[in-house]
Amino acid sequence: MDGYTLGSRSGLPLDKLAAALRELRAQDLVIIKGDFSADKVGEAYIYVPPDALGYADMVLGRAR
Amino acid sequence: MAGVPSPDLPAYACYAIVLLVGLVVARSSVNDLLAASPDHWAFPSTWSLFFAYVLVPVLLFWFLDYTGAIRDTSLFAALLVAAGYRQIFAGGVQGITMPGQTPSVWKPFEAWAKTVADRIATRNKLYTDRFNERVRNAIVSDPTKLAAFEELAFERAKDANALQAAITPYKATPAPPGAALKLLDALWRSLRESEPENYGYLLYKRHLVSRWQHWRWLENGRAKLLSAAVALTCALLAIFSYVWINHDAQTGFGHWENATIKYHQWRFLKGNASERDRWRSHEFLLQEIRRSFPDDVTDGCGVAATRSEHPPIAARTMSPSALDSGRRLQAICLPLIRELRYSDVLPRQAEDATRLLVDCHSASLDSITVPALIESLRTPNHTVRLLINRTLAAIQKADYDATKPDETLNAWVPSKDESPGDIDGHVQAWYRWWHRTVGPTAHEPLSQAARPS
Repeated sequence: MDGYTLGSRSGLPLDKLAAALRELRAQDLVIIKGDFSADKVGEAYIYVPPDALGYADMVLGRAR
Repeated sequence: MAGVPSPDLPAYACYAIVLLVGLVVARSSVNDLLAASPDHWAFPSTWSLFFAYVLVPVLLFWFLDYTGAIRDTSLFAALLVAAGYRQIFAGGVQGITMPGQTPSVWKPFEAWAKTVADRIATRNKLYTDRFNERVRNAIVSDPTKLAAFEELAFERAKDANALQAAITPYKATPAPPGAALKLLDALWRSLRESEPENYGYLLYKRHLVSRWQHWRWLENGRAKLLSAAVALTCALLAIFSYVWINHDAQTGFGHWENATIKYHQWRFLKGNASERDRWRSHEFLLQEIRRSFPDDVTDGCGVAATRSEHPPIAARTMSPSALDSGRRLQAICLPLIRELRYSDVLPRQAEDATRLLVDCHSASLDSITVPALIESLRTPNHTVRLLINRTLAAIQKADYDATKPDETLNAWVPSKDESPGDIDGHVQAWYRWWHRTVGPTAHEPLSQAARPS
């Protein structure tokens, strides 16, 4: 899904979403297509594999 | 698991159950795996992944039966494999153990699934960018649309004041370079942030995107189109297969009949088939042999007929129906007899095959089976030679009692140490008896036997 949708679903503003995604990306847990800097993360395409959903939820929850 | 009691169904029914349950499980697996891509069914790679997920439990079911871990006629095993094949690969199902390194086969499959997900993410990003760019170009090039878009963005903005502040510099007179695009960027971002999932519908309702664009890109239209195409292809394939298997009225031996006979021969000779499954196939083959006797031969299985009463098919001028009958009987019986030549054929398989031939003995069948049986006496397996010799003796006694074979044949007890020359002597003795009984035209070597077209 795109960054806008993920931000809306996780209740995160885009700058915090970008930071959380950076952490997940560093651990190779998500696939991100496109620029995910704070001002462009909305247009990025993010894929979270099912086996990483739990951890991704935790990271996003912590960022909130 | 092989020892667990379960209803014993025909193998084709169990494979069908695995396939049908596998379809449901595969759909669910693909949806779970690609849940983050709402229109994942729009991509051919998703479909290849789906069909791979469908095939995996079917192949696993066959493999586990082949290795003896389960029986492919067990209803419970079919349901377990179809629904829980991932646990089986992970070794999490008690009683079903994958041999050797085979569980690691699942790892490349998982890696492939991940690659597909990555590829779909790339394509999705590309398509979304193209769609957005097309819509933005259409809006920015038309002042009316830009005004409508601005109205929409303000209507839905979370913070209208912040949006106003963001767009004010681009509304100055004279307009700075690229003002229209920058204005659109600010409005677009605001709308996307406030309506991340509904923005397409709002654009459509304001006539900023066409119905087709909206449906195709934002209502999973591509996924629906491709799903419909796949469903149509499957339906056409099913119709084509149905027509094909019911075709071939010219020879009287249709593809369906041929396939069912081959299926039951496989089951009949299968080493680890259940007793009930073998019995089912025995009954089927018996019925098929009975059904295949030519119309002008009135004797049935188990009813002795002398040569003078019913000359064998090959010794007569054959009518078309007799030709068809001959082809059918050859197709049913010769593969079973051919199996007897395999040196490591299981004793039970050899006994089953020879018992079936004796059960169905009749003059019309003998012309096909007897020469093939005689030739099969050359098998290196002395136990099977003994069985074949007894079978030939039983057929001779039942159908050709008037013509006696050499005494040496009745007294022959095949042994492990027999030389090929000794065996050939007995083979020739049986041929002499057969030629005396029906004439030389009846001799039809197994290798030259006609097969069903």
